[in-house]
Amino acid sequence: MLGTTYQGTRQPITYGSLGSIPVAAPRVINMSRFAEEPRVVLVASGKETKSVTGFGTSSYIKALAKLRYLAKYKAGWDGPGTKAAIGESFRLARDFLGLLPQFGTLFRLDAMIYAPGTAVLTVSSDDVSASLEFLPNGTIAANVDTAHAQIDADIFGFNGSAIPNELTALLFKQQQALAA
Amino acid sequence: MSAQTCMKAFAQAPADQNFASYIDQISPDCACEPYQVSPHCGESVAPTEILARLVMDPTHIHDDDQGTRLKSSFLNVAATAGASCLRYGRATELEYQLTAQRILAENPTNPDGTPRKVCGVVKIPVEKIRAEQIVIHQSTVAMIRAFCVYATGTEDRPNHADVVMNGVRRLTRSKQNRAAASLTKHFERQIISVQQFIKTADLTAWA
Repeated sequence: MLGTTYQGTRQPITYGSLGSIPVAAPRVINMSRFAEEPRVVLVASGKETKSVTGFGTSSYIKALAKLRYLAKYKAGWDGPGTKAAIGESFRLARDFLGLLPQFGTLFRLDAMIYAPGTAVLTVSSDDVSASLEFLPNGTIAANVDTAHAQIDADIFGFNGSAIPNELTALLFKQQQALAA
Repeated sequence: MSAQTCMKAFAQAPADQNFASYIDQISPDCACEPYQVSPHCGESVAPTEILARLVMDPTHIHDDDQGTRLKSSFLNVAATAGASCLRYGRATELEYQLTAQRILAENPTNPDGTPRKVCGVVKIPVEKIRAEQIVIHQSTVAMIRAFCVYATGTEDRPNHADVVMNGVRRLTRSKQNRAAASLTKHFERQIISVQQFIKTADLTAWA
């Protein structure tokens, strides 16, 4: 049941002196069922390359589950003027997520929704931290931070079939250098 | 630009995701900021003021090994519908209640059926918001102010204010996101619980 990420242990709603507004109790999300990171064998270009421990499978599953959850957000989720989750944006984000394993990089992944109803993935490793917003027209609004640079780029034409070269260069540069 | 022009223009602003673009057009480079823009609030927001913005659970927060922090989505709405805030020290308890009700009104529950809640408040110094800058183009060093703060009081919430991204029509989407994330970064771990906020804030001063 990947669509039920937020099944955290929540305490009952408390009613403070803010009248009838529900106020959250201290929040604990139980994600223990995703805690194990199995060994995976990565295959690149049809050829088995290497076995990596802790590829980040749990991170991948959590991000995917969160995308599915956020895709259900309705208009007004962040107050008047915020849009419902846009299906095409979330599809592209899921497709992007599905393309990551072939690069064999250990990423920490998370998902968000932005006010226009767009899906956002955060992708980070020891070398790079990126926030990628998927616009329904196929543009990826990318903010990539490395130790030496901050790059903001709108990358056009993502259709879910391959990670754009510009983004590959930004996200996997360090790994490619190490592998060479 | 005059107070009259600004008030008239703000009265015609769309209450949707085109708000920031519209404001950018009628109030370029925060031109209307020093003026009254709402008939319900006579004073513009002073640089010494602090804004309070409600944090919704779980949309805007993330738990990590260092505790809870705000996500970069927290102020992203400044580029579209405007980030709704209240003027700390001026807004009454009722205004906080109404703001929360307004946010929860359309979506009282999360997609999994659990009730949505206010999980905290973040206090943002206006000075900090107005000092934030953004590079327009990667190739140049042209910088502009990233955000404007307007006193957009309403009849039932006279101390309402909006943080609106400046120059939004000139910025690429990635630049918009960078600006919102950069501002959020300043106070990403300064979430005050509602209980604590109630204890420390004077919610009756302007009642």
